[in-house]
Amino acid sequence: MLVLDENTKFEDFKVLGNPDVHDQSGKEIVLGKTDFAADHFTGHKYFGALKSSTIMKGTIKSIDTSEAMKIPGVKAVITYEDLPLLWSPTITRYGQEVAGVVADNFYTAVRATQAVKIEYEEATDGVFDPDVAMIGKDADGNPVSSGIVPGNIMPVITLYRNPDMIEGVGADPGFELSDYVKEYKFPWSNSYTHNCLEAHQTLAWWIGDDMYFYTGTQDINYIKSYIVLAKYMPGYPSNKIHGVTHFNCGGYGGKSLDCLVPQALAMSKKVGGYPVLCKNTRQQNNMNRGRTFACTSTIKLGVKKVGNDFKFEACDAKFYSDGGHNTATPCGDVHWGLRTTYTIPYATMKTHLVFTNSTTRHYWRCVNDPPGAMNYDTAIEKLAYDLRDDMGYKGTPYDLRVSNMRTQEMGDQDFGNSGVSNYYAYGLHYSKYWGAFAIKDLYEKAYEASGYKTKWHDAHTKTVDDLYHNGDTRWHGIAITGHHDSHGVINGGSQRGGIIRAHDDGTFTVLTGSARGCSGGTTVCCNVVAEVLGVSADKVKLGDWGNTDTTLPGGVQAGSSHTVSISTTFYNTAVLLRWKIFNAAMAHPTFYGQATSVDDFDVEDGVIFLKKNPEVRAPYATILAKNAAIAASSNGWEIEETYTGMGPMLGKFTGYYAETENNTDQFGRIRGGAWRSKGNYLKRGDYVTCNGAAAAACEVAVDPETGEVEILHYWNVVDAGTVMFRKGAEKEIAAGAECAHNMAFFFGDIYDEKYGKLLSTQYTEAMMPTYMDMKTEDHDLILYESRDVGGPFGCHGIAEPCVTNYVSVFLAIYNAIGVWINPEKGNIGPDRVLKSIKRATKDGYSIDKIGARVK
Amino acid sequence: MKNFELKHASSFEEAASMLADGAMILAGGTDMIYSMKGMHTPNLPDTLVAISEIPNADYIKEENGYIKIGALAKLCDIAADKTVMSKAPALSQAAKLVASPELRNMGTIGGNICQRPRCIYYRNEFDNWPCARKHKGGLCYAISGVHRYHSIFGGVGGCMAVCPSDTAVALVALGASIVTTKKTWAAADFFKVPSKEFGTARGEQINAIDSDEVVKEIQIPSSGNEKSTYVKWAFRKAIDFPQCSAAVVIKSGKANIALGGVYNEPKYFEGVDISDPSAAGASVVAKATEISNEGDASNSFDKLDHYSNGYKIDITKTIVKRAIISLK
Repeated sequence: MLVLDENTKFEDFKVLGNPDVHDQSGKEIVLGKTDFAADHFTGHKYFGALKSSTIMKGTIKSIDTSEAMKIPGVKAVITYEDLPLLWSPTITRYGQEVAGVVADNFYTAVRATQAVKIEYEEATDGVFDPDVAMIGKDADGNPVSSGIVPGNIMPVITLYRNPDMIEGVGADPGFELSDYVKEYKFPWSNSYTHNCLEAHQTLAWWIGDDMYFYTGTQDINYIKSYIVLAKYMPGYPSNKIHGVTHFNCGGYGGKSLDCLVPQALAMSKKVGGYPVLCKNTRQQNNMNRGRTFACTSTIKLGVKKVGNDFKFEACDAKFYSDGGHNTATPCGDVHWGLRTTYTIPYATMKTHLVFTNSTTRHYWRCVNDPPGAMNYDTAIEKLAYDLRDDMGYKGTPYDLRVSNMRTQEMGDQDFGNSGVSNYYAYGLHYSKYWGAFAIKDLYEKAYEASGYKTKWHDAHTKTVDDLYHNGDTRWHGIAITGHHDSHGVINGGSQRGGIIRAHDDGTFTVLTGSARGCSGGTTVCCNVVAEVLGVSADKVKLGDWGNTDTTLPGGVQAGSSHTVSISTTFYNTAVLLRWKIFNAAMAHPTFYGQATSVDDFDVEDGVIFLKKNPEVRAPYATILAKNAAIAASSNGWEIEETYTGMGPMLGKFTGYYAETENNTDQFGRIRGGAWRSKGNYLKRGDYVTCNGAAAAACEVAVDPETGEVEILHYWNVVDAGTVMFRKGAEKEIAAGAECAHNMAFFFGDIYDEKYGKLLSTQYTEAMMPTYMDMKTEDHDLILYESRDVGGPFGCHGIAEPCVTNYVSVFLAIYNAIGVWINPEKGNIGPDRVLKSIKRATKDGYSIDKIGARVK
Repeated sequence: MKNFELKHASSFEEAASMLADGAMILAGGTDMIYSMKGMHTPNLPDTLVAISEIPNADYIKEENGYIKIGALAKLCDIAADKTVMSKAPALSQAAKLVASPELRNMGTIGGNICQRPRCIYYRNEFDNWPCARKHKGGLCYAISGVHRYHSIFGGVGGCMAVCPSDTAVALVALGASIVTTKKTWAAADFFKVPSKEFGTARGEQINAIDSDEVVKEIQIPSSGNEKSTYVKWAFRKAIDFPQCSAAVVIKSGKANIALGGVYNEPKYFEGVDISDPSAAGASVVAKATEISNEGDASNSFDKLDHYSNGYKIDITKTIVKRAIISLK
């Protein structure tokens, strides 16, 4: 019987981490049975389409819907008057939603949107280029303004740190102590697509004053409690809001306004509550959903010579992110990648948001992801090469990184154990305690697996076998990167609940509030329940999920957050259910009079038995025949610690558990996550950081005549904490590695900078990679289980941390050709490799000269 | 999607007779339906004439000194045909590199050489960019904007879009003929863009055939093209259009070379000296530049500036060189 404490042997788990356990919902997915919003109410609904602005800045002077309403089949047109909290007559970006049409079918609705005539007063001072926005003037000296914040720049987060914990001292004393100081400036990166595969769609309808919607999102309760209430009908009774999601549109979808729920509800209301299926076109989906930020940075590093090593002494980093018109924090989590991975005693980090009138950009956590990592990882790599040139450093970039890595004992540089906490962003309050700190282990595994020790060389000094056998030369390069990452963090938004139903045949049904994650988040819930109840995985089935009427708001959401809380939730719920069943067993004739408390029971393979006399036993089915039970619980997170406006969903949980010094309640349930090693348990309300981490080694061959880069091999090493669902975990990190590959070469929005419009509106143009572009047999995926101390099982977010390591490709290319690639607001495709070589050649660099390189 | 009436033809001649009033041909549908759904141009037809049921029009056979390919032959079949593979390998290779297996299974050779341009502005949904190709007096937005998939040797009629067809480049180099309901075209003439009709449906074509003319057959000389190859340089290895491509046929120690992805039509050079493959690559690019400079200078943009799409010049030289080396 599973009881979590310091003596827990995770190796003894029978379900959790078992490679033979399959995805609960995988069969439905591969058979195409996954239900989307459009699958419901077939034949009995109207369709909604949206109209987008054709200017990037200005105001709507008038909207003429008369011609649209004359089109046969058109039922209604909505404008900002129908959605006053979501839409506005003020235009801040191209593609902004300005009207919607309801019609008999989708194509009529789309055509009718073309007939909605909108007269704009277009502003002439709009700005698309973030460089111009930062200056505030165009090339002719005319003032420009996004119209969102004065000066178009807003400082978001400032972090300071020095050994005496005096906030505000910053990096300067560290530079004075340094033996070598170098500043690196990085041009704007591209802005990456973080979009779902399916265009968003929502089916919405009203029955009386009850609103219903079916959409694709990671978190239906978030949509209900935040999106609907904040953006559509503030103060509306929550028991009159009914939402369902069964699929999250490919994993990226539905974290914020991209669900179309308010739009669909407004459309339905306009036609008397009749069901309306509101859909984006692919173009709108790409214009309005899920772009992430571009970044530019200046990073100044100072190091001190200690023996043969160089130790980071100071860092002054300024990050600027182009957030479009969005106000989300773009750069906040550069912290994770830089400051929590490396020891930097004196540091100042400032992040700024640059506002332009470009398309919607979203916040993708973990280091403003690729752009931020690209910048600081490149700075460290450049520093290593420069130290070799200027200071006689004998080590490799890997050596410099590993010798400056933080350890768990060092605690957090900026807050938490160190006693200083000035990192607050939108209500996020990170923890006092660290979980696992395995980044150095990950680096070492990547180092060993890749053979970096013998393969690394000075830049542009080694060739590989010629691909075309035509005498042309390809150059060999290798690099290793890795970071801590925000994914997997326990945060205050994790007040979550689970429901398990026990059936009279000894099987169990799990009801979870999350959407179906890409790689089996719902399966993780079932696995935890099976492990705690002592039954095989096939005895626990997934029931309903993502339904605000029938499930509690608990579950894994993609790879982002709640990774720890989910295991707490279903651990707690299963323990409660087990306690109920054992109580029932005490009254059952099999055990009657032989047990005085539930503690007298144990269970194995679905059979309950007395600990003192294991021969007295009965299967669950026997006990449950007349005692079928339901358990529901929450995990006891402090409700006041919420984030991004998410409020309580099932009333206030504060005080739900008895205040004791122990970390468990009377049912033996874990309260609020626990350190489960070293006998060190968290107190209720404490927070633990159990961030994910990943390292990657990349080996490339670069063809300098075509710019083509072949990844010869890629080693992706991921700290999974504890693997809960092995098949899903393996799939997630494989996807993370592929995504890193994609980030390097393919992903990237294409804008027309003169007109401020997004061009890559369809997937043929957005360069979504194909399987032909990746030799996945050359990807080694290494799951590292660090046995984290956070949460009952210590699991991490695992997929997205891998993505950031795409920078290893970039750095390997430098090692190959000795030229830093200028991404030119794009990816590092072959065109940019060629252009960068050409630029360098103008400055005297020669690809034919072995060892030639650009600083 | 634009509403349309669907008609069926039982012969190419019947299909041609049904093309009045702007009707257009529907074969495999991989490009036409995409256009109708995207509504990217105002010149879309009200009627589509389906020719997929025309009997015996998907053949690949050797006859009278020619490899003859019916217009409805699927790209997948051409790629896998042993005769084509051995006697006109450049076409086999080009067909194999079109899009993805699903699209090659649906797409026909006739459709592939009659597709519309792949300019990112031209293809944008709902005609968001009223460009010169589809609007009289429209601009070519690619000149100041994004032009990775555009010409490096200037434009035609103010349009910088290139011929996106892989098979077109191979057919030109192979000296193929294209038989239509009206005449037999030399491939090099077939792919002349009707620039004077930009702004109309016909002006959107990548070939010169009339609006009521239907492709029936492709003919390729069955001898002399054995030493041929097609090399494509694209960002992606599937579902992508060439940024540069080259079809090379070596005959009697000289090369016939067609370049794709770099001009409005395949650029064709006959009898190129291949004694030095590197020099051959450089010479065709130099000739192409020379020819384009003789045209309308106002159409040229940034063509040798490596900060825009000038990198395609270097890549073109390289793929020509490598194609020649692979055949030597």
